[in-house]
Amino acid sequence: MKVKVIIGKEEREVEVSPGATAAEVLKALGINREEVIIKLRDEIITEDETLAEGSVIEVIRVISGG
Amino acid sequence: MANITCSLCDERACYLRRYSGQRFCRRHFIEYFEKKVKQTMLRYRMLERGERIGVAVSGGKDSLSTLNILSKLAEKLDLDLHAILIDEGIANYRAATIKQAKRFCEELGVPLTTLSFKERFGTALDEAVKLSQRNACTFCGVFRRKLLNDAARELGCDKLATGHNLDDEVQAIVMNYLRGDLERLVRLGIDAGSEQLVPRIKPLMEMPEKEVALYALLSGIPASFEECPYAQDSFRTEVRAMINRLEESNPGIKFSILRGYQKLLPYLKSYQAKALRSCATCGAPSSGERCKACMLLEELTPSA
Repeated sequence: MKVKVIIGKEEREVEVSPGATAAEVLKALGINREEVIIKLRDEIITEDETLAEGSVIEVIRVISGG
Repeated sequence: MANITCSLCDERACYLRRYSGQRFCRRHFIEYFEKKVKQTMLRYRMLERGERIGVAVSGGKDSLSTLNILSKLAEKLDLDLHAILIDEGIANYRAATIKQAKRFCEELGVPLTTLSFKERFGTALDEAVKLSQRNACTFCGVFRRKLLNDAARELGCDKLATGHNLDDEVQAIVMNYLRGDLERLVRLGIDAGSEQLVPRIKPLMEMPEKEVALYALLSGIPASFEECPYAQDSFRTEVRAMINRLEESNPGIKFSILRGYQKLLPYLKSYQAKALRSCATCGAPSSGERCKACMLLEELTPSA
C-alpha cells in the first residue's frame, strides 16, 4: 500500500506492506523514531498505530540541539 | 481500524513509552510528565521554598517547558521566577525564538531580562565565527554560560534553572567518555562550589527529548522546533545520532547511561577540578589564571 509522508516542506510517497505501522514507514525512510513525533489527520499518534492505503502522516522532528 | 488507547483510560494514545510499555493519551501524558519533573526536582533537592530562580530561556521547547512547570509551582513554593534570555547574534534564527520567548513570559507573567553577546562582548556570534577558525559552539557555550551566570547574579538569583533534558545529559556524558576528559565528566555531576557561580538546576534532566517535545506540543507552549544553524558543526550531532540508534533498538538505554554515570561519580572524585580562582582579567571564577571567555575574547580582538 502507498502512504504519503510530510516532513517539513517535503512530501514523499512510500510503498509499504498492507497493515504497516507508522514505525515501519519511518524505518523505510531511515528515520529514527526517537527523533520524531507522528501526526495522522492532525492528531498525534503512537508509532505502533497501523496505517491504511492512502494515509497521510506528518513527521515532526523533535531535535533542537546545538 | 481501531485506535490504540491509553493504558489509563479509553482515549486514543498519543505516546508509547517504549521503556515501560505504557501508552498515554494527551491528559495522562501531561499528568505523567509534570509529576515526574516534580519528583526529579524533589529527588535532587533542586528547590527551596521562597527562592529566587533565574530560568534560562531560548524560545525552544526545553526552556519554555521548564518555565511552564516552574511557573505552575511558583505560587505553592513561593518562588520568585525571572526568565533570562541570551541573544547570541545568529541571523535568521534567533529573532523568531526571542519573540516566542517574550510572548510566553508575558503570558505567564514572568519578568524577562535579555543580554546579548554584542552588547556585553562587542561581538555577535556570527561575527566571532567569521573572525576565528573555531567552531561556533565553542564561543556560544563559553559566552552563554558566562552571561547566564552574570545575569543570575545581577538579579540576585539563588539558583539558575536550565532546560537540559535527558538526551543533553547523556550526550554530554558520552562525549566526555569518548574524549577521555574525566575532569569534565566529573564537572557534569558535581557543582564547582564557587560563591561566584549561581548553582544550576536541571528540572528536565530525566525527561527524554522526545517527551519534552510532546509535552510542549500537547500543552500548547509556543516553542520553536527550529534547529540552530550551527548545530551541524558539532561532535554532539554525531554522538546524538549514535545514542538514538542505540535507544531505538534498546529502549531505556539513555536512563542506563545516566544511572551508570551516577554510580561511577563517587569513584571519579580524584578528577575533581582544584578550587577555582579568580580570572586575572575579569575576576570571574576560573580554573586557570584567566577564564576561557577572556581568552576567547582576546582571540577576537585585532592586535594593536
